[in-house]
Amino acid sequence: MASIIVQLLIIGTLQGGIYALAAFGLALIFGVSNVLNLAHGQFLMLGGLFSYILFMATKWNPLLLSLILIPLFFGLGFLFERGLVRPLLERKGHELVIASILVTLGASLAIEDITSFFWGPEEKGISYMMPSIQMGSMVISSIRLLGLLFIVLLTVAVHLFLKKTYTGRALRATTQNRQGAMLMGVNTFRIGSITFGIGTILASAAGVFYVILFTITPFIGIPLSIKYLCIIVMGGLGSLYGSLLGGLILGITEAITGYFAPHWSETAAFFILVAILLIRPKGLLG
Amino acid sequence: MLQVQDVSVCYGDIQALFNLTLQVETGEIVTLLGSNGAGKTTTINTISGILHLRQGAILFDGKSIHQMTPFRIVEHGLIQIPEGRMLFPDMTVFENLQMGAYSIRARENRQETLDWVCHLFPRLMERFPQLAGTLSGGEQQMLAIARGLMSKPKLLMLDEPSLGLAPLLVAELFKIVSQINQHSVTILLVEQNAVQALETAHRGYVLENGKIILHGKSSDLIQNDHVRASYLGI
Repeated sequence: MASIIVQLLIIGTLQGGIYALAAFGLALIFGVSNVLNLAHGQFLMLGGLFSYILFMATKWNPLLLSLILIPLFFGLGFLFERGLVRPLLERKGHELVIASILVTLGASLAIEDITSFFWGPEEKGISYMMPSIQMGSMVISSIRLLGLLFIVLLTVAVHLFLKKTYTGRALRATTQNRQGAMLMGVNTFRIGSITFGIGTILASAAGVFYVILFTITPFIGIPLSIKYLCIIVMGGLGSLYGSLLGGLILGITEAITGYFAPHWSETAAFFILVAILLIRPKGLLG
Repeated sequence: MLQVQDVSVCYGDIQALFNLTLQVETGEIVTLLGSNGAGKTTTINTISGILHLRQGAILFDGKSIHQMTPFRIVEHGLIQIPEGRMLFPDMTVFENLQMGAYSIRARENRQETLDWVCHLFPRLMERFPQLAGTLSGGEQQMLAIARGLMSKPKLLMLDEPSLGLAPLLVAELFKIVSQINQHSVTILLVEQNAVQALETAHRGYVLENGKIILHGKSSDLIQNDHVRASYLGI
């Protein structure tokens, strides 16, 4: 029993870590640009797809291959903001939110069609084996542990970037008061592009873990985007770190209910969301 | 140092400023007086590049700045301390000051500037690790000024710094404004509090309904019947 609980906690934390990474990226983007990016889940899918393609070509460790994706997806997110999101920023308030939903949803559908046209609609997954670790009666998959380690490292790296660098501080300042940041000399437009780049790195990294643990198809993107929206609402809109907490809670809940009552895991996740919002209407850290 | 020439600004179809002309010379304290809705914040936001003008020109240090983005204007040393402070509430006091020194110009001498700012506002130093949002109103205003000074301004524009402060703090604030000016920072002070502003400033402009209706030396404005009736309550 103890071994099952430990296993479930590891799976749950890993799954939660995947949610947390991608949701953190989405929260950064929303915080800086006030844009609801429904293409976020597609970048996760693309991250998974690209690491699948690289893995099939080389058979190297998919986690190490993911390092190649970092600059690639930074560029992709940066250009996505420049091309599709920047023109919307002229609009204000709910007009901006609606315009951003329409544009990013359109981009999502296009990405979905393009990927299924070129790489086919079937499920893809990486089955990469690494020797397991045996602790007493417990067997722990070392790829999962390595995945957890990568997620923690990436989160710490983003955290240090936000706290210690001029650009990171400017990013946080922009989320807290856009005009105030501008008046301190922050090029808030450039910060918007950089934030999209970083958010997209986080989504694609989550995609690498996703394709190792589960399978991807071109159609997972939009439902995932909606799930991440729920997570950042649960964590508290505007709170960057709330999304990390929300993601972890959701992942652990899904893993535990998934083991004891597989059909209820998604439902349980949304029950938790509703319960949290009933108790704290502004979200966990909002 | 700053020349605003014949500037008109509109919000959509509504014109907010009409052929506004004013100038600030190096080393001066100039005040821009006016009641609520006269166009004071519009003026200052147009100078900062946040609003776009429909007509006219703005020169700073001889360079035309009215087509620049707000962040490029900051790099030239023209800094605004906005109404409502616009601090970063979830960042610490120290991080807010660091953000003040964000521009390339300000980064070089940030340690010296920090020493000077701490000398001006000793109370802030005790509060470095505290989140800016948890400060009292007076402390937040001091932090907003300190953050603006961290940007190494040549010309500092303050938008209603005395708003919402207790009378004792208001007096202290105007004293600090004079001290900053003695440190060779030129100042454009936007105020509703005409008495204190005219006592502190060398010259003043009076703005009504988007037009400059009067300007002159502070000592002359204090004597002016219209100013006395409308702004000094005498």
